[in-house]
Amino acid sequence: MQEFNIQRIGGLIYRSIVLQKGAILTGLSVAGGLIFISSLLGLRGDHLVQSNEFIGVFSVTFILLGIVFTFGMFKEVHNKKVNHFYFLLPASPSERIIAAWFVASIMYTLVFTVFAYLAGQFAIIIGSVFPDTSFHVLPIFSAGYWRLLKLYFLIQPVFLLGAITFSKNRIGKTLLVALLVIFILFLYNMILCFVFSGGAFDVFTSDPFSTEGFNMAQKELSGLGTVLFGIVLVPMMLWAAYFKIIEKEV
Amino acid sequence: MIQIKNLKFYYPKGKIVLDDISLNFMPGNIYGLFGENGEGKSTLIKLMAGLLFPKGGYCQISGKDSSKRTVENLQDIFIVPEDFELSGLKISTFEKINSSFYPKFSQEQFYELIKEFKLSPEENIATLSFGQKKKLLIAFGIAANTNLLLMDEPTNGLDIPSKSQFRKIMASAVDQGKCIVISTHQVRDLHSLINHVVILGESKVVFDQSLEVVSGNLWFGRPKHDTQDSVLFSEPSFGGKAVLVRNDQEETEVDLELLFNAVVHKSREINNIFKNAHQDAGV
Repeated sequence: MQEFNIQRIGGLIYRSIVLQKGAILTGLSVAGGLIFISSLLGLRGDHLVQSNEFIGVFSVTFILLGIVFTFGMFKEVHNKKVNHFYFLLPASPSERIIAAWFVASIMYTLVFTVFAYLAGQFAIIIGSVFPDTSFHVLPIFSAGYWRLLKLYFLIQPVFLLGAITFSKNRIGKTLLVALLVIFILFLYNMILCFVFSGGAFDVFTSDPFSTEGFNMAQKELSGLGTVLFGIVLVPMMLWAAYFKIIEKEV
Repeated sequence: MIQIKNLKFYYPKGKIVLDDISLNFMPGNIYGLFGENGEGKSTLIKLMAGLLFPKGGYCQISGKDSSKRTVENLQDIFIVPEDFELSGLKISTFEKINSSFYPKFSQEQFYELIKEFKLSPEENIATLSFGQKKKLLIAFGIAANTNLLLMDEPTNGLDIPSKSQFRKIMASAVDQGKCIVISTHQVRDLHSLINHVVILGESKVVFDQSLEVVSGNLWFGRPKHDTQDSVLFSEPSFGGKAVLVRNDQEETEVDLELLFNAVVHKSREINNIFKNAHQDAGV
Protein backbone atom coordinates (compact mmCIF):
# COMPACT_ATOMS: atom_id res chain seq x y z
CA MET A 1 0.00 0.00 0.00
CA GLN A 2 1.23 3.46 -0.95
CA GLU A 3 2.21 5.52 2.11
CA PHE A 4 2.44 8.70 0.06
CA ASN A 5 -0.48 9.86 -2.00
CA ILE A 6 -1.09 13.37 -3.37
CA GLN A 7 -4.87 12.90 -3.24
CA ARG A 8 -4.75 12.12 0.46
CA ILE A 9 -2.54 15.16 1.06
CA GLY A 10 -5.19 17.19 -0.81
CA GLY A 11 -7.84 15.66 1.42
CA LEU A 12 -5.89 16.55 4.56
CA ILE A 13 -5.39 20.14 3.33
CA TYR A 14 -9.10 20.50 2.56
CA ARG A 15 -10.01 18.96 5.93
CA SER A 16 -7.75 21.24 7.98
CA ILE A 17 -9.00 24.35 6.13
CA VAL A 18 -12.65 23.39 6.73
CA LEU A 19 -11.98 22.64 10.42
CA GLN A 20 -10.05 25.90 10.89
CA LYS A 21 -12.43 28.03 8.79
CA GLY A 22 -13.78 30.04 11.71
CA ALA A 23 -10.33 30.70 13.20
CA ILE A 24 -8.92 31.65 9.78
CA LEU A 25 -11.70 34.16 9.08
CA THR A 26 -11.47 35.71 12.56
CA GLY A 27 -7.66 35.96 12.40
CA LEU A 28 -7.67 37.45 8.92
CA SER A 29 -10.37 39.96 9.90
CA VAL A 30 -8.37 41.15 12.91
CA ALA A 31 -5.13 41.34 10.90
CA GLY A 32 -6.92 43.07 8.01
CA GLY A 33 -8.43 45.62 10.39
CA LEU A 34 -5.03 46.38 11.95
CA ILE A 35 -3.34 46.69 8.55
CA PHE A 36 -6.14 48.94 7.31
CA ILE A 37 -5.88 51.28 10.31
CA SER A 38 -2.07 51.38 10.27
CA SER A 39 -2.08 52.08 6.52
CA LEU A 40 -4.55 54.93 7.04
CA LEU A 41 -2.29 56.33 9.77
CA GLY A 42 0.70 55.89 7.43
CA LEU A 43 -0.90 58.30 4.98
CA ARG A 44 -0.37 61.15 7.43
CA GLY A 45 2.46 63.55 6.61
CA ASP A 46 3.78 62.43 3.24
CA HIS A 47 0.35 61.12 2.06
CA LEU A 48 1.98 57.85 1.06
CA VAL A 49 2.10 54.40 2.59
CA GLN A 50 5.84 53.68 2.58
CA SER A 51 7.05 50.10 2.38
CA ASN A 52 8.76 50.33 5.78
CA GLU A 53 5.53 51.64 7.37
CA PHE A 54 3.51 48.82 5.87
CA ILE A 55 5.97 46.03 6.63
CA GLY A 56 6.02 46.93 10.35
CA VAL A 57 2.44 45.96 11.13
CA PHE A 58 2.44 43.31 8.39
CA SER A 59 5.39 41.52 10.06
CA VAL A 60 3.80 41.41 13.50
CA THR A 61 0.38 40.23 12.31
CA PHE A 62 1.85 37.78 9.77
CA ILE A 63 4.18 36.04 12.23
CA LEU A 64 1.73 36.01 15.15
CA LEU A 65 -1.21 34.75 13.12
CA GLY A 66 1.01 32.18 11.42
CA ILE A 67 2.14 30.78 14.74
CA VAL A 68 -1.40 30.71 16.15
CA PHE A 69 -2.63 29.03 12.96
CA THR A 70 0.12 26.41 13.11
CA PHE A 71 -0.82 25.58 16.71
CA GLY A 72 -4.53 25.59 15.86
CA MET A 73 -3.98 22.94 13.20
CA PHE A 74 -2.70 20.47 15.78
CA LYS A 75 -5.25 21.23 18.49
CA GLU A 76 -7.02 18.03 17.45
CA VAL A 77 -3.94 15.95 18.36
CA HIS A 78 -4.07 16.89 22.04
CA ASN A 79 -7.81 16.85 22.69
CA LYS A 80 -8.63 13.48 24.27
CA LYS A 81 -12.16 13.61 22.90
CA VAL A 82 -11.20 14.10 19.26
CA ASN A 83 -7.66 12.82 18.79
CA HIS A 84 -8.74 9.28 17.87
CA PHE A 85 -10.30 10.76 14.68
CA TYR A 86 -7.02 12.39 13.82
CA PHE A 87 -4.83 9.34 14.46
CA LEU A 88 -7.19 6.87 12.79
CA LEU A 89 -7.68 8.96 9.66
CA PRO A 90 -6.14 6.82 6.92
CA ALA A 91 -3.10 8.96 6.12
CA SER A 92 0.58 8.37 6.74
CA PRO A 93 2.67 10.55 9.09
CA SER A 94 4.61 12.02 6.15
CA GLU A 95 1.35 13.00 4.43
CA ARG A 96 0.12 14.65 7.60
CA ILE A 97 3.33 16.66 8.06
CA ILE A 98 3.54 17.74 4.43
CA ALA A 99 -0.13 18.79 4.41
CA ALA A 100 0.24 20.74 7.66
CA TRP A 101 3.46 22.44 6.52
CA PHE A 102 1.96 23.31 3.12
CA VAL A 103 -1.17 24.86 4.66
CA ALA A 104 0.61 26.77 7.44
CA SER A 105 3.49 28.05 5.32
CA ILE A 106 2.82 28.23 1.54
CA MET A 107 -0.96 28.64 1.52
CA TYR A 108 -1.00 30.84 4.59
CA THR A 109 1.68 33.15 3.11
CA LEU A 110 -0.20 33.49 -0.18
CA VAL A 111 -3.59 34.11 1.42
CA PHE A 112 -2.25 36.49 4.05
CA THR A 113 -0.24 38.47 1.50
CA VAL A 114 -3.24 38.91 -0.81
CA PHE A 115 -5.50 39.79 2.12
CA ALA A 116 -3.01 42.26 3.62
CA TYR A 117 -2.46 43.82 0.22
CA LEU A 118 -6.20 44.29 -0.26
CA ALA A 119 -6.59 45.80 3.23
CA GLY A 120 -3.68 48.21 2.69
CA GLN A 121 -4.80 49.14 -0.82
CA PHE A 122 -8.32 49.73 0.44
CA ALA A 123 -6.92 52.13 3.04
CA ILE A 124 -5.11 54.02 0.25
CA ILE A 125 -8.34 54.19 -1.78
CA ILE A 126 -10.24 55.52 1.24
CA GLY A 127 -7.38 57.99 1.93
CA SER A 128 -7.35 59.21 -1.66
CA VAL A 129 -10.80 60.68 -1.07
CA PHE A 130 -8.95 63.51 0.66
CA PRO A 131 -7.47 66.07 -1.79
CA ASP A 132 -3.79 65.85 -0.69
CA THR A 133 -3.58 62.07 -0.98
CA SER A 134 -3.36 60.59 -4.43
CA PHE A 135 -3.96 56.97 -5.36
CA HIS A 136 -0.84 54.84 -5.41
CA VAL A 137 -0.04 51.13 -5.42
CA LEU A 138 0.85 49.67 -2.04
CA PRO A 139 4.58 48.85 -2.04
CA ILE A 140 4.25 45.36 -0.54
CA PHE A 141 7.07 43.40 -2.21
CA SER A 142 9.96 45.21 -0.59
CA ALA A 143 13.26 43.73 0.61
CA GLY A 144 11.74 43.69 4.10
CA TYR A 145 8.88 41.49 2.86
CA TRP A 146 11.25 38.87 1.44
CA ARG A 147 13.37 38.96 4.62
CA LEU A 148 10.22 38.38 6.64
CA LEU A 149 9.21 35.40 4.52
CA LYS A 150 12.67 33.92 4.94
CA LEU A 151 12.38 34.30 8.70
CA TYR A 152 8.86 32.84 8.80
CA PHE A 153 9.76 29.82 6.69
CA LEU A 154 12.70 29.22 9.02
CA ILE A 155 10.82 29.45 12.32
CA GLN A 156 7.45 27.98 11.28
CA PRO A 157 8.66 24.33 11.33
CA VAL A 158 10.01 24.90 14.85
CA PHE A 159 6.52 25.91 15.97
CA LEU A 160 5.00 23.04 14.00
CA LEU A 161 7.16 20.63 16.00
CA GLY A 162 6.19 22.40 19.23
CA ALA A 163 2.52 22.19 18.28
CA ILE A 164 2.78 18.39 18.03
CA THR A 165 5.13 17.82 20.95
CA PHE A 166 3.50 19.82 23.75
CA SER A 167 -0.04 19.24 24.88
CA LYS A 168 -0.44 22.19 27.26
CA ASN A 169 0.85 25.82 27.09
CA ARG A 170 2.19 24.87 23.70
CA ILE A 171 3.28 28.30 22.41
CA GLY A 172 4.98 29.24 25.68
CA LYS A 173 6.81 25.91 25.98
CA THR A 174 7.99 26.08 22.34
CA LEU A 175 9.34 29.60 22.86
CA LEU A 176 11.02 28.53 26.08
CA VAL A 177 12.73 25.54 24.43
CA ALA A 178 13.79 27.68 21.44
CA LEU A 179 15.29 30.27 23.79
CA LEU A 180 17.06 27.55 25.72
CA VAL A 181 18.55 26.11 22.51
CA ILE A 182 19.71 29.59 21.43
CA PHE A 183 21.26 30.16 24.85
CA ILE A 184 23.06 26.80 24.73
CA LEU A 185 24.37 27.61 21.22
CA PHE A 186 25.55 30.99 22.52
CA LEU A 187 27.40 29.32 25.40
CA TYR A 188 28.88 26.78 23.01
CA ASN A 189 30.16 29.60 20.78
CA MET A 190 31.66 31.37 23.78
CA ILE A 191 33.45 28.19 24.84
CA LEU A 192 34.78 27.65 21.30
CA CYS A 193 35.92 31.26 21.20
CA PHE A 194 37.67 30.82 24.55
CA VAL A 195 39.39 27.65 23.36
CA PHE A 196 40.51 29.00 19.98
CA SER A 197 41.70 32.36 21.29
CA GLY A 198 44.08 30.58 23.65
CA GLY A 199 42.13 31.51 26.74
CA ALA A 200 42.21 35.23 25.97
CA PHE A 201 38.41 35.41 25.87
CA ASP A 202 38.44 38.88 24.38
CA VAL A 203 34.99 39.00 22.80
CA PHE A 204 33.89 42.03 24.76
CA THR A 205 37.25 43.74 25.08
CA SER A 206 37.86 44.71 21.44
CA ASP A 207 41.16 42.86 21.63
CA PRO A 208 41.97 42.14 17.99
CA PHE A 209 42.31 38.37 17.75
CA SER A 210 38.89 36.79 18.36
CA THR A 211 36.91 39.96 17.72
CA GLU A 212 38.48 40.13 14.32
CA GLY A 213 37.69 36.47 13.86
CA PHE A 214 34.03 37.10 14.73
CA ASN A 215 33.86 40.05 12.36
CA MET A 216 35.37 38.05 9.53
CA ALA A 217 33.06 35.14 10.10
CA GLN A 218 30.07 37.44 10.13
CA LYS A 219 31.17 39.19 6.97
CA GLU A 220 32.34 36.23 4.95
CA LEU A 221 30.21 33.35 6.17
CA SER A 222 26.98 34.67 7.65
CA GLY A 223 25.07 34.49 4.33
CA LEU A 224 26.21 30.95 3.64
CA GLY A 225 25.75 30.05 7.28
CA THR A 226 22.14 31.24 7.27
CA VAL A 227 21.37 29.26 4.11
CA LEU A 228 23.02 26.13 5.53
CA PHE A 229 21.25 26.65 8.84
CA GLY A 230 17.92 26.95 7.02
CA ILE A 231 18.60 23.91 4.86
CA VAL A 232 19.40 21.82 7.91
CA LEU A 233 16.94 23.28 10.42
CA VAL A 234 13.71 23.16 8.37
CA PRO A 235 13.91 19.51 7.24
CA MET A 236 15.20 18.50 10.65
CA MET A 237 12.21 20.04 12.41
CA LEU A 238 9.79 18.44 9.94
CA TRP A 239 11.57 15.12 10.35
CA ALA A 240 11.32 15.36 14.14
CA ALA A 241 7.61 16.22 13.79
CA TYR A 242 7.18 13.09 11.64
CA PHE A 243 8.60 10.89 14.41
CA LYS A 244 6.50 12.66 17.03
CA ILE A 245 3.36 11.73 15.07
CA ILE A 246 4.52 8.11 14.78
CA GLU A 247 5.13 7.72 18.51
CA LYS A 248 2.07 9.62 19.72
CA GLU A 249 -0.60 7.66 21.59
CA VAL A 250 -4.04 8.93 22.59
CA MET B 1 -8.30 -10.82 11.03
CA ILE B 2 -7.07 -9.62 14.45
CA GLN B 3 -4.54 -11.66 16.29
CA ILE B 4 -3.63 -10.67 19.83
CA LYS B 5 -0.80 -12.60 21.41
CA ASN B 6 0.56 -12.27 24.97
CA LEU B 7 -0.58 -8.65 25.04
CA LYS B 8 0.45 -6.68 28.09
CA PHE B 9 -0.52 -3.11 28.86
CA TYR B 10 -0.34 -0.67 31.74
CA TYR B 11 -0.61 3.11 31.92
CA PRO B 12 2.43 5.05 33.19
CA LYS B 13 2.55 4.81 36.97
CA GLY B 14 -0.62 2.69 36.87
CA LYS B 15 -1.44 -0.91 37.67
CA ILE B 16 -1.43 -3.50 34.94
CA VAL B 17 -4.59 -3.27 32.83
CA LEU B 18 -4.13 -6.21 30.46
CA ASP B 19 -1.83 -9.03 31.46
CA ASP B 20 -0.65 -11.51 28.86
CA ILE B 21 -3.88 -11.85 26.95
CA SER B 22 -4.31 -13.72 23.68
CA LEU B 23 -7.38 -13.48 21.45
CA ASN B 24 -8.42 -13.99 17.85
CA PHE B 25 -11.16 -12.01 16.13
CA MET B 26 -12.40 -13.48 12.85
CA PRO B 27 -14.38 -11.84 10.03
CA GLY B 28 -18.10 -12.52 9.71
CA ASN B 29 -18.69 -12.21 13.45
CA ILE B 30 -20.04 -9.66 15.89
CA TYR B 31 -18.09 -9.91 19.12
CA GLY B 32 -19.40 -8.71 22.45
CA LEU B 33 -16.56 -7.54 24.66
CA PHE B 34 -17.77 -7.50 28.24
CA GLY B 35 -16.26 -6.75 31.61
CA GLU B 36 -16.87 -4.79 34.73
CA ASN B 37 -15.87 -1.13 34.92
CA GLY B 38 -12.12 -0.63 34.74
CA GLU B 39 -11.38 -4.13 33.42
CA GLY B 40 -9.66 -2.76 30.30
CA LYS B 41 -12.36 -3.00 27.61
CA SER B 42 -11.75 0.50 26.24
CA THR B 43 -7.99 0.02 26.54
CA LEU B 44 -8.20 -3.20 24.52
CA ILE B 45 -10.29 -1.43 21.85
CA LYS B 46 -7.67 1.35 21.67
CA LEU B 47 -4.85 -1.19 21.43
CA MET B 48 -6.67 -2.98 18.62
CA ALA B 49 -7.06 0.30 16.77
CA GLY B 50 -3.40 1.25 17.28
CA LEU B 51 -4.25 4.27 19.40
CA LEU B 52 -2.23 2.79 22.27
CA PHE B 53 0.91 0.68 21.95
CA PRO B 54 1.38 -2.65 23.77
CA LYS B 55 3.99 -2.88 26.53
CA GLY B 56 4.46 -6.53 25.69
CA GLY B 57 3.21 -9.00 23.08
CA TYR B 58 1.48 -7.78 19.95
CA CYS B 59 -1.79 -6.96 18.25
CA GLN B 60 -1.89 -7.60 14.51
CA ILE B 61 -4.52 -6.76 11.95
CA SER B 62 -4.22 -8.96 8.85
CA GLY B 63 -0.65 -9.74 9.86
CA LYS B 64 0.45 -6.14 10.45
CA ASP B 65 1.09 -4.55 13.85
CA SER B 66 -1.80 -2.22 14.66
CA SER B 67 0.60 0.17 16.44
CA LYS B 68 2.33 0.91 13.11
CA ARG B 69 -0.87 2.68 11.94
CA THR B 70 -0.16 1.99 8.29
CA VAL B 71 -2.52 3.53 5.74
CA GLU B 72 -3.59 0.03 4.68
CA ASN B 73 -4.61 -0.86 8.23
CA LEU B 74 -6.25 2.49 8.91
CA GLN B 75 -8.38 2.20 5.77
CA ASP B 76 -9.81 -0.95 7.29
CA ILE B 77 -10.56 0.31 10.80
CA PHE B 78 -13.22 2.60 12.15
CA ILE B 79 -13.85 3.25 15.81
CA VAL B 80 -16.91 4.63 17.55
CA PRO B 81 -15.48 5.79 20.89
CA GLU B 82 -17.38 6.00 24.15
CA ASP B 83 -16.80 9.70 24.68
CA PHE B 84 -16.07 12.10 21.87
CA GLU B 85 -16.64 15.55 20.46
CA LEU B 86 -17.39 16.49 16.89
CA SER B 87 -16.68 19.80 15.18
CA GLY B 88 -19.57 22.19 14.63
CA LEU B 89 -20.02 21.39 10.95
CA LYS B 90 -23.00 20.42 8.85
CA ILE B 91 -23.47 16.62 8.65
CA SER B 92 -22.88 16.76 4.88
CA THR B 93 -19.62 18.72 5.41
CA PHE B 94 -18.48 16.20 8.02
CA GLU B 95 -19.08 13.44 5.47
CA LYS B 96 -17.28 15.38 2.72
CA ILE B 97 -14.10 16.08 4.68
CA ASN B 98 -13.71 12.56 6.11
CA SER B 99 -15.19 10.12 3.60
CA SER B 100 -12.52 10.60 0.90
CA PHE B 101 -10.03 8.78 3.14
CA TYR B 102 -12.04 5.55 3.14
CA PRO B 103 -11.88 3.80 -0.25
CA LYS B 104 -14.98 1.67 0.36
CA PHE B 105 -17.12 4.52 1.76
CA SER B 106 -20.71 4.47 0.47
CA GLN B 107 -22.33 7.91 0.38
CA GLU B 108 -25.67 6.35 -0.46
CA GLN B 109 -25.53 4.05 2.56
CA PHE B 110 -24.46 6.93 4.81
CA TYR B 111 -27.36 9.20 3.86
CA GLU B 112 -29.82 6.28 4.07
CA LEU B 113 -28.66 5.59 7.64
CA ILE B 114 -28.78 9.31 8.47
CA LYS B 115 -32.39 9.32 7.31
CA GLU B 116 -33.14 6.16 9.27
CA PHE B 117 -31.71 7.80 12.40
CA LYS B 118 -34.02 10.76 11.75
CA LEU B 119 -31.17 13.20 11.08
CA SER B 120 -30.82 15.64 8.21
CA PRO B 121 -27.64 16.22 6.13
CA GLU B 122 -28.11 19.96 6.56
CA GLU B 123 -28.22 19.82 10.36
CA ASN B 124 -25.30 21.34 12.24
CA ILE B 125 -23.52 18.82 14.45
CA ALA B 126 -23.16 21.43 17.21
CA THR B 127 -26.96 21.44 17.67
CA LEU B 128 -27.23 17.66 18.04
CA SER B 129 -27.56 15.80 21.34
CA PHE B 130 -24.85 13.32 22.37
CA GLY B 131 -27.05 10.38 21.34
CA GLN B 132 -27.63 11.93 17.91
CA LYS B 133 -23.89 12.53 17.49
CA LYS B 134 -23.34 8.88 18.34
CA LYS B 135 -25.88 7.88 15.68
CA LEU B 136 -24.02 10.03 13.16
CA LEU B 137 -20.75 8.33 14.00
CA ILE B 138 -22.34 4.86 13.86
CA ALA B 139 -23.77 5.72 10.43
CA PHE B 140 -20.37 6.93 9.25
CA GLY B 141 -18.65 3.85 10.65
CA ILE B 142 -21.04 1.48 8.87
CA ALA B 143 -20.90 3.44 5.59
CA ALA B 144 -17.08 3.48 5.71
CA ASN B 145 -17.36 -0.29 5.09
CA THR B 146 -14.12 -1.01 6.90
CA ASN B 147 -13.41 -4.67 7.58
CA LEU B 148 -13.02 -3.91 11.27
CA LEU B 149 -15.55 -1.81 13.15
CA LEU B 150 -14.77 -1.17 16.81
CA MET B 151 -17.46 0.25 19.07
CA ASP B 152 -16.91 1.31 22.65
CA GLU B 153 -20.17 1.53 24.61
CA PRO B 154 -22.15 2.40 21.46
CA THR B 155 -25.52 2.30 23.22
CA ASN B 156 -24.57 4.84 25.90
CA GLY B 157 -26.62 7.94 25.27
CA LEU B 158 -29.13 6.17 23.03
CA ASP B 159 -32.79 6.15 24.02
CA ILE B 160 -34.74 2.85 24.23
CA PRO B 161 -36.18 2.89 20.67
CA SER B 162 -32.74 3.85 19.32
CA LYS B 163 -31.15 0.86 21.08
CA SER B 164 -33.35 -1.60 19.22
CA GLN B 165 -32.83 0.42 16.01
CA PHE B 166 -29.10 0.13 16.64
CA ARG B 167 -29.35 -3.66 17.00
CA LYS B 168 -31.34 -3.89 13.76
CA ILE B 169 -28.89 -1.72 11.82
CA MET B 170 -25.82 -3.53 13.17
CA ALA B 171 -27.27 -6.94 12.36
CA SER B 172 -27.80 -5.85 8.75
CA ALA B 173 -24.31 -4.32 8.56
CA VAL B 174 -22.31 -7.46 9.19
CA ASP B 175 -21.21 -9.58 6.26
CA GLN B 176 -18.65 -12.31 5.75
CA GLY B 177 -15.75 -9.91 5.33
CA LYS B 178 -16.50 -7.71 8.33
CA CYS B 179 -15.61 -8.10 11.95
CA ILE B 180 -17.45 -6.00 14.50
CA VAL B 181 -16.31 -5.72 18.11
CA ILE B 182 -18.70 -4.07 20.54
CA SER B 183 -17.47 -3.30 24.00
CA THR B 184 -20.07 -2.64 26.66
CA HIS B 185 -21.01 -3.21 30.26
CA GLN B 186 -24.69 -2.98 29.31
CA VAL B 187 -24.90 -6.62 28.37
CA ARG B 188 -28.64 -6.58 27.64
CA ASP B 189 -28.21 -4.04 24.84
CA LEU B 190 -26.47 -6.62 22.70
CA HIS B 191 -29.18 -9.25 23.09
CA SER B 192 -29.68 -11.20 19.83
CA LEU B 193 -26.96 -9.18 18.08
CA ILE B 194 -23.63 -10.77 18.93
CA ASN B 195 -22.49 -14.28 18.09
CA HIS B 196 -19.35 -14.44 20.22
CA VAL B 197 -18.65 -13.44 23.81
CA VAL B 198 -15.34 -12.25 25.24
CA ILE B 199 -15.26 -11.37 28.94
CA LEU B 200 -12.38 -9.57 30.64
CA GLY B 201 -11.71 -9.83 34.36
CA GLU B 202 -8.73 -9.20 36.59
CA SER B 203 -6.59 -8.12 33.61
CA LYS B 204 -7.17 -11.45 31.85
CA VAL B 205 -9.56 -12.99 29.35
CA VAL B 206 -11.87 -15.00 31.58
CA PHE B 207 -14.22 -16.19 28.84
CA ASP B 208 -13.97 -16.48 25.07
CA GLN B 209 -16.63 -18.60 23.37
CA SER B 210 -19.05 -18.38 20.47
CA LEU B 211 -22.72 -18.27 21.41
CA GLU B 212 -23.23 -21.46 19.44
CA VAL B 213 -20.82 -23.27 21.74
CA VAL B 214 -22.35 -21.59 24.80
CA SER B 215 -25.87 -22.68 23.95
CA GLY B 216 -24.58 -26.15 23.10
CA ASN B 217 -23.14 -26.61 26.58
CA LEU B 218 -25.15 -24.44 28.93
CA TRP B 219 -28.84 -24.25 29.72
CA PHE B 220 -30.52 -21.02 30.85
CA GLY B 221 -33.81 -20.99 32.71
CA ARG B 222 -35.61 -21.96 35.90
CA PRO B 223 -34.26 -25.32 37.02
CA LYS B 224 -36.60 -28.20 37.85
CA HIS B 225 -36.15 -30.11 41.11
CA ASP B 226 -34.41 -33.03 39.46
CA THR B 227 -31.84 -30.78 37.76
CA GLN B 228 -30.77 -28.87 40.89
CA ASP B 229 -27.49 -30.76 40.96
CA SER B 230 -26.30 -29.38 37.64
CA VAL B 231 -26.91 -25.71 38.57
CA LEU B 232 -23.70 -23.77 37.99
CA PHE B 233 -24.94 -20.35 38.97
CA SER B 234 -28.24 -18.82 39.98
CA GLU B 235 -29.47 -15.45 41.04
CA PRO B 236 -32.67 -14.88 43.00
CA SER B 237 -32.93 -11.38 41.47
CA PHE B 238 -33.31 -13.03 38.05
CA GLY B 239 -36.57 -14.63 39.13
CA GLY B 240 -34.84 -17.84 40.06
CA LYS B 241 -33.19 -18.18 36.65
CA ALA B 242 -30.00 -20.19 36.61
CA VAL B 243 -27.20 -21.44 34.41
CA LEU B 244 -27.04 -25.18 34.23
CA VAL B 245 -24.97 -27.75 32.43
CA ARG B 246 -27.15 -28.49 29.41
CA ASN B 247 -26.74 -32.28 29.29
CA ASP B 248 -29.69 -33.64 27.29
CA GLN B 249 -32.04 -30.74 27.87
CA GLU B 250 -33.47 -28.72 25.00
CA GLU B 251 -31.33 -25.82 23.74
CA THR B 252 -32.21 -22.42 25.24
CA GLU B 253 -31.51 -18.86 24.20
CA VAL B 254 -28.35 -17.54 25.85
CA ASP B 255 -29.13 -15.05 28.59
CA LEU B 256 -26.13 -12.73 28.22
CA GLU B 257 -26.58 -11.02 31.56
CA LEU B 258 -26.86 -14.28 33.42
CA LEU B 259 -23.89 -15.72 31.53
CA PHE B 260 -21.83 -12.62 32.34
CA ASN B 261 -22.65 -12.83 36.04
CA ALA B 262 -21.98 -16.55 36.07
CA VAL B 263 -18.56 -16.07 34.46
CA VAL B 264 -17.69 -13.20 36.82
CA HIS B 265 -18.58 -15.30 39.88
CA LYS B 266 -17.73 -18.83 38.75
CA SER B 267 -15.23 -18.41 35.99
CA ARG B 268 -13.33 -21.64 36.65
CA GLU B 269 -16.43 -23.87 36.84
CA ILE B 270 -17.96 -22.40 33.70
CA ASN B 271 -14.74 -22.68 31.72
CA ASN B 272 -14.27 -26.28 32.88
CA ILE B 273 -17.58 -27.21 31.25
CA PHE B 274 -16.26 -25.98 27.90
CA LYS B 275 -12.86 -27.58 28.44
CA ASN B 276 -14.44 -30.93 29.24
CA ALA B 277 -16.84 -30.67 26.30
CA HIS B 278 -13.89 -29.91 24.04
CA GLN B 279 -11.96 -32.89 25.36
CA ASP B 280 -15.01 -35.15 24.97
CA ALA B 281 -15.43 -33.98 21.39
CA GLY B 282 -11.74 -34.68 20.82
CA VAL B 283 -12.12 -38.23 22.11
